[in-house]
Amino acid sequence: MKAQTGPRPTSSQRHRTLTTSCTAVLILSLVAACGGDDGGGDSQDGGGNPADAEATDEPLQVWVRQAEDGGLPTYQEMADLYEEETGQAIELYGEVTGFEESLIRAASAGNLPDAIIYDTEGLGQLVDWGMVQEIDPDVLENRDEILDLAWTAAQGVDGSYYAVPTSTQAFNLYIRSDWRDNLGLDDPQTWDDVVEIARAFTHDDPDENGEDDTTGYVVPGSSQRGYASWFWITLLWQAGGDYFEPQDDGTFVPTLDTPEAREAMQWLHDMVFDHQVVQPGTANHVTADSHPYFQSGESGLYHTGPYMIAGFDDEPGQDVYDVIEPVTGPAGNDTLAEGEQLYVMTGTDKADQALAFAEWVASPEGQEAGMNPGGYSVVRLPINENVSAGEVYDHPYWDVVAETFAESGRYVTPVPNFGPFRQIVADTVNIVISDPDADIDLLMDDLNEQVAAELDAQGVLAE
Amino acid sequence: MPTIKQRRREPAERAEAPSTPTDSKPAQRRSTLRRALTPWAFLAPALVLFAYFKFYPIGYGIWLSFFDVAVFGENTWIGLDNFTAVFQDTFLQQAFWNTAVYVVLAVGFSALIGFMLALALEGQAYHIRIVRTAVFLPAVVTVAVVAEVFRILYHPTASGPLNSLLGLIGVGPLGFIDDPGMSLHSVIGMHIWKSAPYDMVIFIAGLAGVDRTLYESARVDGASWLQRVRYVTIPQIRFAFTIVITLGIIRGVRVFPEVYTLTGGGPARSSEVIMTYVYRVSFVDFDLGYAAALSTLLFLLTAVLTAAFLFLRREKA
Amino acid sequence: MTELATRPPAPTAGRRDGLRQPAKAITFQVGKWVLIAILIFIFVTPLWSIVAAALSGSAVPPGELVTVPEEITLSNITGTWGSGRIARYFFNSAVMAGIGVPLQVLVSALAAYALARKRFRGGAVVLLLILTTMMMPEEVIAIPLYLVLADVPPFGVSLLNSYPGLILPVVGWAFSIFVLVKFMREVPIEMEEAARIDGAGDFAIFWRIILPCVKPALGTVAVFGFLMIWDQYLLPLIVAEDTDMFTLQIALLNLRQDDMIPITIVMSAALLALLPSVVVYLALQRYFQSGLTAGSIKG
Repeated sequence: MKAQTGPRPTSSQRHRTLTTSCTAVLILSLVAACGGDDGGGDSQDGGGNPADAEATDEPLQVWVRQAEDGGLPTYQEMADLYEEETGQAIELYGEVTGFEESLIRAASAGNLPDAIIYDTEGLGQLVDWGMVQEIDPDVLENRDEILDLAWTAAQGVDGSYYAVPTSTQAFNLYIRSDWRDNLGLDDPQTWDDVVEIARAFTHDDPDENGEDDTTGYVVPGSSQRGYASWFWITLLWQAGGDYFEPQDDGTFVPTLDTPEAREAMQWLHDMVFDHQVVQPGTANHVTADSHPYFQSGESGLYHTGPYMIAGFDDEPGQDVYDVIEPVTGPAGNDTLAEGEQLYVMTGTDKADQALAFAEWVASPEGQEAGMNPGGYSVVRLPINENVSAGEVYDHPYWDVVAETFAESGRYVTPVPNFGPFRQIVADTVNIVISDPDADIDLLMDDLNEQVAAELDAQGVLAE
Repeated sequence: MPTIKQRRREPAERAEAPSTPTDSKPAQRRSTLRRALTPWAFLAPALVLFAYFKFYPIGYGIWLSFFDVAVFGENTWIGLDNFTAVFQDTFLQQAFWNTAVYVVLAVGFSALIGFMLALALEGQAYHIRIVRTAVFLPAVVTVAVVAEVFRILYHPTASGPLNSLLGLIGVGPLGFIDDPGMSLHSVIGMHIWKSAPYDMVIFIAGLAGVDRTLYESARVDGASWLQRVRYVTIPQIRFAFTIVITLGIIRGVRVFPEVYTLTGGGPARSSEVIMTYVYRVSFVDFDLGYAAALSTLLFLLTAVLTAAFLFLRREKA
Repeated sequence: MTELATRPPAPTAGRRDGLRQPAKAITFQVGKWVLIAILIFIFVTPLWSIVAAALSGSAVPPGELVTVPEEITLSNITGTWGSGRIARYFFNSAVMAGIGVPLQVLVSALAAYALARKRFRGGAVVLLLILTTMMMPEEVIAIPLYLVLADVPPFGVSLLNSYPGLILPVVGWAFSIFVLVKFMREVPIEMEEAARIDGAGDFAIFWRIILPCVKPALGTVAVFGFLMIWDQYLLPLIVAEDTDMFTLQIALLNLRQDDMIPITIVMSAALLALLPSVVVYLALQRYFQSGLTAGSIKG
């Protein structure tokens, strides 16, 4: 295995303060340095394989953040199909727990795979580490078939492209249509409507069972892995705010002390404590804990992703819920979009093969292979404009999701490393929803300072 | 522990042989070297394995704490910067105090309840064995699953399982893990539920060696049950307490899955412990150098606590 | 709980309370069964709810403890492992524990013998050093451990993706060494001396005198060693380079982290994963008390 015997590139700075230009240099040097190393993808046998030209005989190593009992079999089918058509073998490795940790370990020993399929919001981090290569979208024949919005998530802070989109999704509002009809209400259009409906769902016995056993609004409010902020960011955008504002010089001004951000936080706080329409125990709920509230008929409004449509069709049942457009807040109806994309890893000698595979995954054929109605879909909303989710899934709700993505979908603002921000903000959201007396002004000022400090640590705080 | 030495039973039949070590002197001289090497021969397999898979990796981890660690690329030596940063880390300070509370309560009550369980459930009777097995079950269930159940038990409404019980005696409903003032204690409660049976097993193994004849004489002397436990049982299994508490401290200081799976450190950081914070520094911020420094401090803290405890035990015993 | 005190040191432990004090005996019996009922309630109810949830066909409403499974079905349990990879994961876990536990107990016992029964320079330090290996968070040593496994000096072999890689790192475990040291120190010196006069060497003393004396402790460390190895998730992740080397725990963790998989499925998977632990406990529990019987022969 010859761990760490290959020449490792050096960076003259703390990695966290690398500016984007330095990152680019680093990547180039890594490509040069690792090109003659062990090829990065060779993890099976020892003996520091010299790089060789006839690499196509070797399988392309691709890691995906999917489990054997989840999406890995679907990827395996895609890989088999691809090999059948092109002759290029793909060796898949799938892991959910500790995917990032495994990447880091592999990097430490020069064992990175050739490519990974990974979250859109992880892009900044991967680039910052120097683990992924810049790509030229124009080498893809189907570049223009891929949705423009999806391409935005493939861009780093510097505007360069570092990935090829493979899947996306947008968050919608899921509502118990039978409850709504029982109470003679309309679908919500605004924040105020949401309050009104959530109150009615909580207090007016929407399921008509004569018991006070329902709540209006589901919030995954745990700070664990940043769930709380992942939920709240849509509210923030709808209020007209964001975590920070990019400047022309590549730096950022933190903006969580703005009136917009305060309003978004106050609204969520009021939902929990003034209107009391949020499910009990929200402060410890990750999404997996939150879904059952909607599924078991305890709660009637849930802002979540389309990956739950299959589950919600089972319970509470397709005929009793609707997927509707996100509501409009004080400033608009933006909603969170997130997806997955294929990254070509630094040091691979199979970059061309990796891009060829990406091109296929992004093609109508690849997209449809990844959408698995009735099974586990690794492509949720297709990123290819020639593929219709509603048709492939044969489900009208997917059309709503596709429309929402096109009209209101928004990816997080690219920064060198989004993870810490997600966590920092989630901590504050978690405080706000667990403390009835939370001083929101004070908390937001403090939060803004934390965001500023993190921007500074990442070397992109505006003067 | 002088008493225990004299009455320890002998399983080997040849223990009756007269023990007068007289004619072993020539042998002694001949094998001085061999004698010196013997302990190391016994230790060798363990030491080799520890060297590869423990000592070296730990040393490497400590070494990393002096660097700004690049995930991919060259690390930068920054001396003690990671350590001085600790003192400005207010977040960490809260986690530290939470951990201290956690260790004291979780280890203390687990040991106490585990000991009482052992007293109640030692013995070979059939029904005792069944009950003992049932009681031991919590120890074998993965923490994450236990947390799943406790999340339900701790449901913060009046209809939650524990709150329903408390309601019968007119208490509550309590917020449990939903209440920042109670969340840490709620996690500790789950910890005790899971580790008291664990401790019980060690106590039962210890009780197996307690001399029953001393009970009899104590009983003849008119000692009450409590007195017998206090003056006969406890002195004889003091070493079991040492084991349970030492290992409890070591595990308690770096408690992680219990907290992470039940509350994730929340709400409002009220149950954050050192390791949930280290986890976050490692795998959210990916600041591996700082994480190494925190771990090194945790390591030193545990070592000092353990050494102090073992030293105190020795003084007493 | 007075049973303990009134018990004569006789091997017929089952009916040891005798009928000496009939009046007391009745209250005692009642009290004992009440206590047992309470213990079972506290320690078993939550676990039963796992079983009930795993057997339930319908979604579990949040905040409700399932005590009676509704629409009983085995589909959660069978469906959990629909991928058909369960056998492979189970095999890997079984190999890891099946070889790891005996090796761990043996290596620990050997080391403990030296540390408990021999006075030699550095012994105390070695014990403390061994103990300290439990004090460093595993996550921090993951990278260096990976590097060692990828290239074991000075042999230059890689243990990644291999069973030795899964097993060897868990064989050295401070916990079992510490427990065995403590127990071995309690064995009276006279027994050892007697054997030595009979001409027994160190290994014979270790094997024939010390080990039988600490049988309860051996049972204990074997059970805990099994639990420790069975629960490993980080090491298999470090060692595995393809999913063929995954263990049950990783499959379980992956299930839990996937939003789309209902909690009843996770519970069923957990249930399957814990069964072997129960079996091992049942198989080993007679050792916990073997010292008792040994003692009663003398009494």
